[in-house]
Amino acid sequence: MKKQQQLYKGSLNTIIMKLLEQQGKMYGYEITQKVKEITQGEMNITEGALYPALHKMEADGFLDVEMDRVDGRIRKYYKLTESGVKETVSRMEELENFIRNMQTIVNPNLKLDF
Amino acid sequence: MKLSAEQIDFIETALIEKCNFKDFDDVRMELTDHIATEIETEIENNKLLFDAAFVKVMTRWNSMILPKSWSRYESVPYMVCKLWKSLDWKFQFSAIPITLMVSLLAYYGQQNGISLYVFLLPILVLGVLANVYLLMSKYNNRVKSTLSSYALQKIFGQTLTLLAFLIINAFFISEGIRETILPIFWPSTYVSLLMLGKAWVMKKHIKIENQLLKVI
Repeated sequence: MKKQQQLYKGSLNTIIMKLLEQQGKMYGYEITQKVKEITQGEMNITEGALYPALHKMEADGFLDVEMDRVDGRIRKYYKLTESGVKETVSRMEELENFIRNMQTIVNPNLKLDF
Repeated sequence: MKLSAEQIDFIETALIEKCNFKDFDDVRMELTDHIATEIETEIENNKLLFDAAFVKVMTRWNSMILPKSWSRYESVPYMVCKLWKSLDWKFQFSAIPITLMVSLLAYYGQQNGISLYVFLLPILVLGVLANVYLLMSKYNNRVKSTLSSYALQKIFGQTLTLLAFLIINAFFISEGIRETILPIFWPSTYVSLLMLGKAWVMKKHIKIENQLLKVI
């Protein structure tokens, strides 16, 4: 499991961006839970990795923030900016290429179509 | 079970007093919400009392939010420190090669009869404008975010440095020494670029400030 986490590490930003592209806007806790739910507990994004990634993408202009008062506290939502949307497309292409290449190396007979 | 206002205040106070989140309103509120949600989940799923759930959740968070004594920003929470370090790379360290490139360009210009001030003056003017913007922001700032605290740290010291280089440059101009001041060119350009970078960060903070002012 721990080794698997290491493999995911390099794709963390892409995963977050893809989720935001699908969901529109999300807050930190929601992202961690959504990833857990989609991967059926296989992948666990730690808060120590999630927030620095979110804050950096926000400072880089890929994410915009929106704040709302929910249950007596302030909730910070993230959503993709225009440049974030473009960046997501290019990162997804890179990730898909990477997966395809890995697949070719690991299992040369299997063909993936995406 | 949703936490009460007092319990949420308790979490926020702990973040301020134990983890030094006083000057980072945006991240503090974000973490308060996240930690509160985790505590609520602990209370619901594991039937814990607030105090026990709080200790359990905070123990998990400690390494990410406590300031690290070995860090360059030793009183800054680790999570904020990580962002600041990436901003350092973007602005402080990248200003060094840019300064060297501009200096080189100025040097070759000088060799071809173009005064050094053709390069230096626009950079200095931009640096001063950025500095004025930062000083004004310092007084008009209504909330403190991770970005504003980064942009405004050591602002007075840096203003004095910029002022000192302005005076030195003005002295050289008044003395008619125009072509032999390349050593002065380098720090003047660097400080000006630094100011421009910080002004850019401060501009990003305005968006966060507007959002925060809507809800507090």
